[in-house]
Amino acid sequence: MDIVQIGGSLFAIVVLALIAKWLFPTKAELTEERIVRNVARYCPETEFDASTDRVFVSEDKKHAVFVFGNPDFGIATASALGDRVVVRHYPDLSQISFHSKNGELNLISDDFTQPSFSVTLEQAPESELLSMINMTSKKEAKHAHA
Amino acid sequence: MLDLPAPTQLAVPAFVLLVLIEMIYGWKTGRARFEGKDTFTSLIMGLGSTISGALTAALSVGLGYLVWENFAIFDLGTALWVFVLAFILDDLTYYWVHRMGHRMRWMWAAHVIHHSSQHYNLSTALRQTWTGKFTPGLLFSMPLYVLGIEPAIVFFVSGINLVYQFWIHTEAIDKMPRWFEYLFNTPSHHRVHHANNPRYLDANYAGVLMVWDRMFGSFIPEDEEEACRYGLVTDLGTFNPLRVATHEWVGIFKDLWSANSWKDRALFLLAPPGWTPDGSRMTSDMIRQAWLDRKAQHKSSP
Repeated sequence: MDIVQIGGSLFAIVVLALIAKWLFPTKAELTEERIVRNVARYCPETEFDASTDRVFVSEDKKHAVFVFGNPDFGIATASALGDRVVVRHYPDLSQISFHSKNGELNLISDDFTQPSFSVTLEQAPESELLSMINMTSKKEAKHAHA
Repeated sequence: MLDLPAPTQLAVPAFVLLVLIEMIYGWKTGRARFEGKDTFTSLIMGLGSTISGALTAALSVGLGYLVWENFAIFDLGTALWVFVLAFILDDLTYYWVHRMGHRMRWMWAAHVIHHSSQHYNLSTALRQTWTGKFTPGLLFSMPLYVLGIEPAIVFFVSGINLVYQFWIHTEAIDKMPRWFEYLFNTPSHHRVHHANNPRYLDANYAGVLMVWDRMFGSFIPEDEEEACRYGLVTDLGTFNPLRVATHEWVGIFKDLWSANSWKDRALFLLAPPGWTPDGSRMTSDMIRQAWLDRKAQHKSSP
């Protein structure tokens, strides 16, 4: 392959991707229903309880945190990737850390396939999420020591 | 060395045109779906694969000719029947390389790229590995050279095999005539192969001839009751081509680094993807078994 072939291929790739974007516009918004459906698909071994499970969707509707009412199941995250949803399940909260800064909650995990992301929530939901996560962590720790 | 054309390179303009046609068809009918960034990543992976293939060609050509020139039992020559024989044997080889590509994590690290899109369209066909030459897959063709088939013929028929596999990456075609579905790999069979539904995992490895899956017990037909859902068991959360190309290698290196014994290190490379010493992750067998258990439990509960 020479540089002309590579350049021509890159041009064709960009044109095809732009046509795809134009013909298939993406509405990459996460709704609660979409999040719950995808978390249920990804975590079939968990139990769901609509009365105690909580979903926190970021203001831009690109990311969400699902906190299981049952602390044994930990939390799940959902992210919009194009027109699809990517879910990660963290039964053990030591696998993910949360840092609240300037109104943004950063979720950081040691996962090369899922870059860390920020969730911007209004103040009340953010406090509620952090408090639920703290409760889940404490219950996990209790189970570990029992 | 026999001078034969490279079918995949010749087919590139047709690939581009057919992707465009499928896009327009999908836009008009809703029977094919694309996403801009996903398409971009798939096509970039295809370009990267071509470049890495060119850069590492010396390895496969050199090794192939080394074996053929020194260890060939017969001199089969270049008659038409040798090409036909080479095509059939290469297709059988492809079946096993592909099967091991799903069942051995070392080989999966290269092949996973092809399965990393949550879409299934002609651009997915071009989402190819950059690291295929760094796996034991290279060795599977050796018996063909020992038999006496010149490597150039094997590379040529292998190219034809890959060109055939392009058109089966589509949702736009439902089913082919029954006799065709029986004999050949089709969009329906290959949709199953790309699906991550537990019932469809690790099935339909064939390149062209479906007989290999039927013969070796890995054939699963597409069930109209259960639509295929495409992608990985744990989907990638990124379109970054570098992460797409290397993520499983990074995972392997992390596991090798933290392993407690050489046996574990060997198994992190050779056991199926998802294997861990403590069973903390799930292999496809475990996922399917858990699905069967849930199904049985669901049936038995009142």
